[in-house]
Amino acid sequence: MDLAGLDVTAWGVDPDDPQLSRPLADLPLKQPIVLSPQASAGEAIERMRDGHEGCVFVEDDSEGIVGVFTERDVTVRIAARGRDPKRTLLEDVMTRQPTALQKDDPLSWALHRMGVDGHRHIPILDDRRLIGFLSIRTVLRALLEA
Amino acid sequence: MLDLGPLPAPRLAPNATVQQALQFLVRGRRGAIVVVEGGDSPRPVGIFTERDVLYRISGGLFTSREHRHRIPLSEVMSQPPVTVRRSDPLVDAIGVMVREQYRHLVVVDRNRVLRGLLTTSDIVQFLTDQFPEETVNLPPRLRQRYTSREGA
Repeated sequence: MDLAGLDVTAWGVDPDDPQLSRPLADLPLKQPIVLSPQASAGEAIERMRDGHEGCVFVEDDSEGIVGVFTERDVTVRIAARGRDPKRTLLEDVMTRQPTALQKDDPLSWALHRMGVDGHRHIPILDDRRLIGFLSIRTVLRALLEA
Repeated sequence: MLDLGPLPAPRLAPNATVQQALQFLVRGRRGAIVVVEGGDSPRPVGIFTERDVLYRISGGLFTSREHRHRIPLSEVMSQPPVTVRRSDPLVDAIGVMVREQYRHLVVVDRNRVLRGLLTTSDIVQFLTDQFPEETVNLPPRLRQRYTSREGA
């Protein structure tokens, strides 16, 4: 991939660019799909397909958000193991306690977490409340339009 | 010529089984398998991604052992694969991924021989490498308990 050498300013992303310090709340966050831990993976799959989203969040009445179940989990934890999604509970296949960021945190932190964790989605909070999530595509689009 | 690194491309032949494809998807850790023909000079004829699994799983395709071991990859792959060249500007590749909602682009040379697989994660990795001070040394406050409801 040629990027005019290492000159990333060729496509408008400057290491000192305030773009990277934009608060996450400035970006178009996606509405989270939220299901209970006892919902089936099958229902989560349907919701992801209908909503064209790559993840669902799992919420328990008393504990709040307890996990996330993603498109990747469908392959790794359901399909590759030959499990029947309709008979598999989300609580058995979700990733617990997904790391979140706050709405005032900068875009650079989201990039960092995606790079470190290898995740494609990050939940965004307003203090303790989930207000949406950020996808890797949203981040790339934001940098592209910088 | 910018080097984004090796861009590993897990690959299988079109007659590989769905079972093999699923195992490769898991082990390859790239989110996709490039389906290729042609031994020494492999040419991509399709791609099979986690998204394809998501869209096909409801048909019971992956639960039946018989199906997994008999159905060839050629029947479930997406084709033709969208390709880019190493010499293409990265910004154009990102534009395609954002607009078309792809997470993977197959990299080929001018003879259409497979040279790699570009993923959104590769791009994020590249970006975090470019801006180490901006993106690495900041300790995010990790919030562990949160809810979707008001006033929690």
